[in-house]
Amino acid sequence: MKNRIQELRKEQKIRQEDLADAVGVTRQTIISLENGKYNASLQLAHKIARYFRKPIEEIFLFEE
Amino acid sequence: MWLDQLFRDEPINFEKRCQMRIKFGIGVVVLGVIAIGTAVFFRDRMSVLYLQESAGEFIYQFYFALGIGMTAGGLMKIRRNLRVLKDPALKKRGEVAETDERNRLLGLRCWAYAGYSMFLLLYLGMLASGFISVTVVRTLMVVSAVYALLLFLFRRMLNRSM
Repeated sequence: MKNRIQELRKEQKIRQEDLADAVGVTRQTIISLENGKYNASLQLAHKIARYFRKPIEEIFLFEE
Repeated sequence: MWLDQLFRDEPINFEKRCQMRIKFGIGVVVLGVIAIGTAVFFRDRMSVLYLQESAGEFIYQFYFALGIGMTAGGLMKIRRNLRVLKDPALKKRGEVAETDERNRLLGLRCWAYAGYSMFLLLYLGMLASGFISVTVVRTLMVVSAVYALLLFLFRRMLNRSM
């Protein structure tokens, strides 16, 4: 699953550490999410969407 | 049920977990001291049944070293968890590291891969050891059977709890 975390984070000038702190994960998890090596759980996806104030489907792009 | 605590999606409260680890550490220290005491007390007092005579000294060294290791390990666990509980920065870092979903998935995968590898090694060991000792083959067969039984039991238990 692709996501727009890096794009949104850079747009809003947020550091990986700050995003990680805000959603309660390690920086390494944010790095893995941005690189597409790890897919977030529904809970984490919710937290990230709430942090960016966007719907989940605008951040996580589901591919069939 | 304790299995729910172990495998559920929401990890238990970090402070509670540290306190549990301190209690666990105390238990390990007590067991370690008992092992050392038993090794020293029974060194010359008890014959080792079903073993060669020379095995007595080995058994003493085994329990003594085991006791030392357990006591040291337990003390380290207690010290580390007390430090984490007292220092808010360490506590936060530890909490994030332990509750992080990727880290938890990594941990579970490590156990799974180690389990598969262990099973494969047991199987290879069984094949090879037949040429060396029947006792070893039988031991490895029993270990493999217990392992397979545990896998089956945990599968059933988890199937009910999730």
